[in-house]
Amino acid sequence: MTHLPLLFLLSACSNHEVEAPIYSGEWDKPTWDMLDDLGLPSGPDGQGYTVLPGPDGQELWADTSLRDETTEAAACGALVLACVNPPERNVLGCLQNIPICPEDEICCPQACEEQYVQERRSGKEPAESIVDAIWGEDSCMPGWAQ
Amino acid sequence: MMWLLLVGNASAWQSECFSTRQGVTGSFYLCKGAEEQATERWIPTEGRRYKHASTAIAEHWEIWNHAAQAGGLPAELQGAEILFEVYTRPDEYIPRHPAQEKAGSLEVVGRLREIGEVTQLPDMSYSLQDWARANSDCPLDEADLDGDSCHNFLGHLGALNSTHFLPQAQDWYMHLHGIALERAEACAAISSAGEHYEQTVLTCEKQALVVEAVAQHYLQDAWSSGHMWERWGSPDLETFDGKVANALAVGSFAGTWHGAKAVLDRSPLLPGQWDDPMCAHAPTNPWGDVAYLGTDGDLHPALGDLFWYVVVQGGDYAHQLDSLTTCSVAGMAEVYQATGQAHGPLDTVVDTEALYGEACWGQRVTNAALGVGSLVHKGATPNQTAFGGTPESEKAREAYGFAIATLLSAVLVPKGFSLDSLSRKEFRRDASELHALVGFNAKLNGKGTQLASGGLPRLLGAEANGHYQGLPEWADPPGPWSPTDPDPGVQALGLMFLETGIQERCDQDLDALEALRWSGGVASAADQAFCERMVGPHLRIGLGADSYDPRYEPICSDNILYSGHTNHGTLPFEEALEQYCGGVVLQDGGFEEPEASSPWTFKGGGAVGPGVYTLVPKEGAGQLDLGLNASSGVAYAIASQSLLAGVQGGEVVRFEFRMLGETPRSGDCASGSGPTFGLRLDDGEYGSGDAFRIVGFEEWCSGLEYWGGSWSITPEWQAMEAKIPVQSYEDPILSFYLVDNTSPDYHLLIDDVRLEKP
Repeated sequence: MTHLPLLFLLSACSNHEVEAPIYSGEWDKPTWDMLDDLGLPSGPDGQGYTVLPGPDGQELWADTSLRDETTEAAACGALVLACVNPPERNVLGCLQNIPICPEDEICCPQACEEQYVQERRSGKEPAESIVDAIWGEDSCMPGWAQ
Repeated sequence: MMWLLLVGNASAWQSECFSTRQGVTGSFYLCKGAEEQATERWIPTEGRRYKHASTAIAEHWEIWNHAAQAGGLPAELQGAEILFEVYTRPDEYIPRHPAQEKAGSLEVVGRLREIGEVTQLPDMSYSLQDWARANSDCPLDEADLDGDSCHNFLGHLGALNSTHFLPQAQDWYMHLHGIALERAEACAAISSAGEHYEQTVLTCEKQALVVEAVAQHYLQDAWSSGHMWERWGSPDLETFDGKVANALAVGSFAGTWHGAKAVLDRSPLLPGQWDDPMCAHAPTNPWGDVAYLGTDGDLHPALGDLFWYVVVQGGDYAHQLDSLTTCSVAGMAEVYQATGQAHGPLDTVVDTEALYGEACWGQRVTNAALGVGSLVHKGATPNQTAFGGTPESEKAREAYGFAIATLLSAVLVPKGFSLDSLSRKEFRRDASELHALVGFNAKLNGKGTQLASGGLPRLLGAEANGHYQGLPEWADPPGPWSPTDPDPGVQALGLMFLETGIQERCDQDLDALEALRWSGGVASAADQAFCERMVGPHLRIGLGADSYDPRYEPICSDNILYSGHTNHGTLPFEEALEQYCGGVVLQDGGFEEPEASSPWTFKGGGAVGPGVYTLVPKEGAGQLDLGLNASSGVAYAIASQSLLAGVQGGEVVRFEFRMLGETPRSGDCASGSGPTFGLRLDDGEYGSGDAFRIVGFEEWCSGLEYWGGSWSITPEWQAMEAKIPVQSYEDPILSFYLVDNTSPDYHLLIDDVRLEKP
């Protein structure tokens, strides 16, 4: 068995065409403050918000003071998600026009655009590509792998 | 602006359980606790309405009824009730085998259900056997939970309900449908039995359909738009590393995508009306109605839980309605056609093959549907408000919601789930990724169905449910379901579904069957009923192969018990069976020659209900000879305690006898001049008897130790009526007695005795 076919396949996959960036119009950037406007009941000890009370004392609550690599990833994803609105704006267009960290509290690292393009070149669809660029093994988020 | 505020796990077409145990006639309250959830009716009732225009409740039941009508199920089976008789200890509901309990200690507790009502069972219990055992155990061995916590739908029961989502719903349906077919075929095997088994065969068919009703729950769920996607996990806790907390967290998260409305509308925390957008009718939804991709390659709008009342009207949802109906009818019909169809033929021709095609199981909702499902709209359909934001247009506002959902999911902290810190971190990462993924796909590839077809990434280590094969240990097993199976769950199934198990029990040990006959102590209706159902298929009315009633051939014709009746040919089967199990007819008893100094003794079974009980002498046995001699003065023929079984204090027993006396003389106890014949009741110790009153005669021997009436020696039937004293007897003995202190040396021969309890 030879490795040639696999190499050929990888080569082929890595050369998928990437769409041209599209970006126009206005859109609202998400902010962490939005969570305060949801009208959720208070969380445990008055902290954050109760999201999902369960029957045996279990609940999901929102600790809105949390800031770590997960909230950074979610913030980046939410930012792109709020921006994308075909046909006005596509993912690549948004990645090129959103705040780049540390420019804003809700931002994406510069590496995300490059990682997104790599994911696209591997043959993934735009939705999977942007999610994998942020949450995947080769995440563009600093410290995500750890 | 409002995001999701959810309670509990993913729901399904709505199920309902109401209890009447508060003791207030006509009042209902929501079932509390696992036991009520299993044993109370699953009926809709007034006063239980959701906060929207629908009055749709008990939807699973309604769907069954719709399919039963569409499929032409015989009218007698539409809306048919079935009474499950549970033989159980006082104050409990777990089926018990009478032979494994103290004689007379069990009670009969009925669980009445309409067949269609049972479609709700999977929302109340983990399995049919779990329900049979009244939810008394928690099938999740690893969980160490009490029954109530284990069966709380908003908690653990819902946490493991990935089986209610495609494609596991298909696996689960097929498994249970297979069992229903197996049960149905068992009914067909006995359908050619004689007319005396008519009720047995009819009950058998209902039992088979009950199993199918349970199965149909999963088929119905597969056609709720909220269930046309691959929820994470499996019903096996191993999927979640054996951790209940992980299962709960995953189930709860799934509930945020689907299942909100049923809980939110009832939540005191949240006034107002809510929506479950993956199921709700939402004409203002900027993404269009929730839709699924059918196997015809087209997208079809669909609704789900709590909106059956819209679906059933067809219209925009005609494809969903027709598909669900076709598949349900196919399953129902296949089971019924596998029986002997004693209820009559189907009114329509049904293509049962449809059940096994992709058309019944291939539907998956679109990415847009999942995206919308990951949000919650406030307000009642059709005027629900998409979860808001600053953008002007409805579509932009909803899209904006995807971003908010992603942000919020990143700060979700499971509290009280006992997740370790790593799992909490993993949960938040997975949740935020999932929200982003459905959001992007909803926007960029809204008509795709790859997410609902197994394309969702893992959540807390649990894959989409299509990754898991096989059934958990607690799934209902195929037959045989033996009432003596060492596995308590299987045994409970065997005890609850006795009629569908007749064929598989035909070779059972006859001695064990015979031991079910009542043999002393206080008889109970449970013992009697169980004996009749177990013995019935084996019983021939008669004395043996050379002398029996050929009209009543037993189902199990290779393994026969003989009733011992000499009067076969005159008795109806039911009466003979009743007597065999609890009456006083003896197979090998009768009047036997006693020891010279002993009283005449014969034993019988317990007479447990109104009816005529006949003491029949064994063939060839002599007549009961009440012989007196000068020294004893008293002769007994003792019917032991058995004759009085079920006879309560204050009741009147009609007593008939006829005598062939060698000495033609009459007795007159009032005058004390003649021999006295009568009945005597005592507690088993001679000499301490309490004679009981013979009524219907003006003269009776009030001054004597024994009560008796006037009588005469005549071959004609004579009657006395005896009133049972109020006293209770632990071990009562009934004696026929003959007293004569004046005229020794004569014999009275009792030919037959009949006792009738009015």
